[in-house]
Amino acid sequence: MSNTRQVVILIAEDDIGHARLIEKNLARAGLNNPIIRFENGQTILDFLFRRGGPPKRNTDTPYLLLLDIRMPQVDGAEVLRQVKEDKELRKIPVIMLTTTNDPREVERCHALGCSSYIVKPVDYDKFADGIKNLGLFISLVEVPQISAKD
Amino acid sequence: MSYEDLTKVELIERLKALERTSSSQTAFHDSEERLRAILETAVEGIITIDERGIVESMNRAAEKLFGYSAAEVIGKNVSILMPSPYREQHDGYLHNYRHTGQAKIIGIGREVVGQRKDGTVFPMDLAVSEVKLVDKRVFTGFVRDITERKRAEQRLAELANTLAEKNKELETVVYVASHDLRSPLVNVQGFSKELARACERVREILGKAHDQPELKALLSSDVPEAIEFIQAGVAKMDALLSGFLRFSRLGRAAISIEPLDMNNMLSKIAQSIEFQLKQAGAKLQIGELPRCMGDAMQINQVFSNLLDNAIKYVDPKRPGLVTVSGRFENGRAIYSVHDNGIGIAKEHQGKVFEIFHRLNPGSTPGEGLGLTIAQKILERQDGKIWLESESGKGSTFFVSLPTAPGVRKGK
Repeated sequence: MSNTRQVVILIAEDDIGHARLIEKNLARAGLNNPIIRFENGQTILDFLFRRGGPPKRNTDTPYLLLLDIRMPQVDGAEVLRQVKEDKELRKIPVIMLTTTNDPREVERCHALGCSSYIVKPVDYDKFADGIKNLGLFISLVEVPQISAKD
Repeated sequence: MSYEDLTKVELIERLKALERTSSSQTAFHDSEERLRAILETAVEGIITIDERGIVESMNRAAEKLFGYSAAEVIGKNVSILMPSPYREQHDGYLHNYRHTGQAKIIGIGREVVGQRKDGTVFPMDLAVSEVKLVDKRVFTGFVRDITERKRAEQRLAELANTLAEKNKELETVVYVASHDLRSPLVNVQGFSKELARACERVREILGKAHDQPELKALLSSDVPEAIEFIQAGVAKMDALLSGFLRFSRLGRAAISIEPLDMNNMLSKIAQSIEFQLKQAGAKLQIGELPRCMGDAMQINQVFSNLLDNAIKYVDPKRPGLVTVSGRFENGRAIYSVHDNGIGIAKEHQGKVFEIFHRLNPGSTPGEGLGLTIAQKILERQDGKIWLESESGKGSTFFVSLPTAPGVRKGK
């Protein structure tokens, strides 16, 4: 993946186990991008909107978001909504992660403007496949640079 | 003319005539007494008023109902038995009726509110009839206290409400539980696979370098066996949870009821299960089916599930034969899916619609959801499902649905 720009992958996932499995499988798929994990929707929003203490979003780094839908307090769909409402942040590719394939939820996230939607199946081989494809997607996608927010 | 002038015969005639009058007067008096007694002892309150609304009579039941004695009310406006704002409106109402003949209660009857002497109010059934006499008209009101009935009605409504809420709550619980329980399951499955992978690597490394029989045994049989059981458990739990999730979604899915061409639907289902039929060595016969009202996707699911079961439970002793037929009965379309399979014993028939209930868990695949889902679908669409079956001979599942409008009877 020599043509992969050093995109920083931001994972918002309240389940540490899920986050670790995603990291492991991304690594197996050949992706060695830096990954930053957030435990809930609020902390990733604070990072993106450069609120509160460090870490803060770097203005010259391309990012990609992996958002779990179900999180306590601010959930993934809400993060997606806020990101897509911001005229700069909306350029960031957002991939939704969920344990359900509830058609209404899928539709809602697409309507909010997510780039892709991945179901975390219990079947681990399928899960690994999904993440591998995700890795391929990440390596190919053009991630735009986000200018600084005033 | 004095009596002295009458002949004896004439006198007898007079006496007889007198006797007749007096006995008819007694009879008249008797019947009036009787009527009064009937009115007085009637269970319903009976109140008569004149055209202006002035109370003329009130029976005992009415006295008891309103807490007034008849003497207190007779001669007063009947509106004292009503709470505001009816009290103020009543004269106007009577006036209006006298002039337009437009009745709101007279000759109709309705539920109204009465007010007792002590000021308390109570719901009552009021029926008013109009009596036209030679020189005037009076209105008779029959009143009955319906406090108890109202209370019961309200209790029933509250109960229905609670039930609906509980049901919704249950569906939410099922949904949330099945959804949230999958999350840890992803970890159990994922990390046990990771463990298996790590174990495999350790074995490879050890195989080259060392030769420790106990360690080898652990790595090549004990650990893999444990992981296998964990994974089988996870797979089973996942299947149950998906079943739960599907079931809970059913209750919330939007449905659109439309006329259904069942011949078309069944022939499509038949196409989709051709392979299954061939594998089971079974035949499917579909008769002429009446149209009905239902949600196309969900009713398709019902018949797919029924046919799936019919094929699944063929009796290995004879070639399977599944027949689908239909008829009209009392304004409903009745369909039957009959098979000559293994059948269901009487004592198990009540349980086949239970969620996750499986009669032959070892020998056939499935989640134990097909009939539960069919029943749930039909419940929401004014449909019914029931069965007749004999162990060792076969089963017939019946589905009843409302007929489509404009369907000729006996088609």
